[in-house]
Amino acid sequence: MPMDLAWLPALPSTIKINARSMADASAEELVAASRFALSYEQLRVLGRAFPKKNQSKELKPVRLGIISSFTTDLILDALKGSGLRHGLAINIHNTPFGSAIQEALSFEASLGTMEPDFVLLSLSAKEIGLRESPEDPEATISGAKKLLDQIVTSVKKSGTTQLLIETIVPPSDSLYGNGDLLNNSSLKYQINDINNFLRAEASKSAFALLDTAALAETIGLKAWHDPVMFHHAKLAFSLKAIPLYCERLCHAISSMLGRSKKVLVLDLDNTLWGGAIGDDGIDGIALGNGSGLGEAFLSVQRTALNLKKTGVLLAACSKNDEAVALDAIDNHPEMILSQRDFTTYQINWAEKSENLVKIAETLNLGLESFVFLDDNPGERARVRSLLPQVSVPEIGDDPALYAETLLAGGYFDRQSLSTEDLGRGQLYEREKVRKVTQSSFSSIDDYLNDLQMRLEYGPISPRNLVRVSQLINKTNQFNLTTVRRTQAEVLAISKSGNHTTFTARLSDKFGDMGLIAVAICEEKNSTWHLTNLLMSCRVLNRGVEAAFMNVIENQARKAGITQIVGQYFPTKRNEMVENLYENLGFECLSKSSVRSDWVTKLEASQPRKTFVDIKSSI
Amino acid sequence: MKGNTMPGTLTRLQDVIWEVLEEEKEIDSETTAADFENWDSLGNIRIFMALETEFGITFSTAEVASLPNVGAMIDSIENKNN
Repeated sequence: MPMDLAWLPALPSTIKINARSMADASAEELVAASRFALSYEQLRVLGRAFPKKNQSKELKPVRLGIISSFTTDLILDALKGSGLRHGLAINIHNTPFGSAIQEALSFEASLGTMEPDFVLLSLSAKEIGLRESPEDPEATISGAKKLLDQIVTSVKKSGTTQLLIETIVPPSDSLYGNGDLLNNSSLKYQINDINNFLRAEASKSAFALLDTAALAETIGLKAWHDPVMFHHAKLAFSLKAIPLYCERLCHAISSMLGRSKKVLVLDLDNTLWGGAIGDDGIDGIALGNGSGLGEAFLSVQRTALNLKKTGVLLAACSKNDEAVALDAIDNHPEMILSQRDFTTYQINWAEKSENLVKIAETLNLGLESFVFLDDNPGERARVRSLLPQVSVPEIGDDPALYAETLLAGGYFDRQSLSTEDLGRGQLYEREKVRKVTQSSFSSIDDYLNDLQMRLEYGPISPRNLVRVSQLINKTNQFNLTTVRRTQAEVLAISKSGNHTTFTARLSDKFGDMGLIAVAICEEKNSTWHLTNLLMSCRVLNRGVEAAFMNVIENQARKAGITQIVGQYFPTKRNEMVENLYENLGFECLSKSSVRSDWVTKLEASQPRKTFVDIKSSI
Repeated sequence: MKGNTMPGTLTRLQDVIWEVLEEEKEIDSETTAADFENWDSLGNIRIFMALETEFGITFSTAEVASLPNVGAMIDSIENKNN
């Protein structure tokens, strides 16, 4: 279900949450119950039970004012219940239904007298004047912006209250179809324009943003809206979305209070790669392009690295032999994360909870700012029970969903206005570079030179066997012979005395493309026969094939080879390499409709000009 | 599951109503909103939403507005589950 809190553990059947069972619960018990994936009614029970109890010292009191065009009565208790999950004791000042604009414009005299820490402004499209086909759409939009400006000014006059404005969720139905966002007379266009205006203002720190429109888009507008409930009670969205909405609102409040999570602690085996490094070895773990499973683990690493770039600290916590695990991190060719991406690590056989405490001490940060990602349900449950302040997302058992579930948890929520996140600056810098790269080169040579391509070559080995076999059997276009081979055959060739094999990985300033080319040379009478030569299409038109041939020729010379011969066997798919050998400077020996034969004499051959730096991986 | 032979709809409905309204009064097919202190318009919406979750069904705008008593609610639920 898209609106489930999938990253939270399910409520155990031993815990019943209803008004009666929670009537005498302590604050601590209510907080403990809040950490499960609760339904709307269950959250509501917690929210109602809490104020009757003594306030817990563990909870941060928050006064929240709400100004809304919608009926919020049904949200309030559930929001209090959700707050417990985030260590917040939320006290809510609601304003009467139907008076949102007046309340906002007279903020100081009305809600402002309650001195709320935060005020949530949740206005409907209708309330700020947006509608289908107004007489003057531009005036309608600019009028709405002016109204919002006035409201911001009104609330900010109060000085201490932080303003949180909600984006407007567009309707799910489409009046213009494909033209919805093309015509400023359409309501969707106007809402989109206002939302972008709110986002731009929020990015300039005018206020904080609760981007409910983005949340609803992720869920799906059809599921988000509930027309029956809207018509009955002017609810902004389906009651089923309330737990998720409250969660997102708590993320925003936490982030404004500087309480977003700061550290992502990662398990290694079966979390960052498939398999156990101690059992399977560096050649046996699943990681990297070429297999779905290997790519899924790459996605986990990529997400961790992306989080690091937004300022999240990474740490590793794994039950492993430290040297073995570090060797994999340092030397597995497909690792995205490198040792220096981890601010610290604890790799040993001790309890993970003890290691987490050590990591917290090293970083001088509280455990409540920690998120712990581990594939093992037992480890997760143990850490949860020993260190309840650590957030431990449920991530299921499919690595393809680990990253998605982690991010859905919203642990690292932050407003774009934060300047403390150094990584973000670098991110913008790189975006800038990319744009320049796309726009400013007068010649293809300049462009290729600027790409800073690096080709790393090595033989076929057990470590790349899966990817190599996949390329040999799936590449159709840039494939000179289209000779297919089983994995076992490839392995046998890689060990054979009269074959020399080549693989190439390519990276450039924008990232690593992984293993992209394979060549197999069979030696006969001081001649290498290229029985397989193929390349992934994702690196076409960059001179990579010329660089790869330079590598092969260079190695051939060292091996005392005098000439290299190759064939082209035409298929329906490989026309693009019909002239490859000719373009690489080979001589044609013979040519027919079913094959052509080519040779290059190494005595006469010169290295081809490329823009690729060559490096041996051996 | 056939409507008329489905035992327990009344019990399940009663559990939902008790949980949502926090009022534990015996219900039968003649019970109406007026019999509960907390069964106001918002309470009504919460009951219908909780029933949607409990029985895996959806109610129409008209049903949320006008099902006259518990008996009519049970009929509607059992028809939807047919």
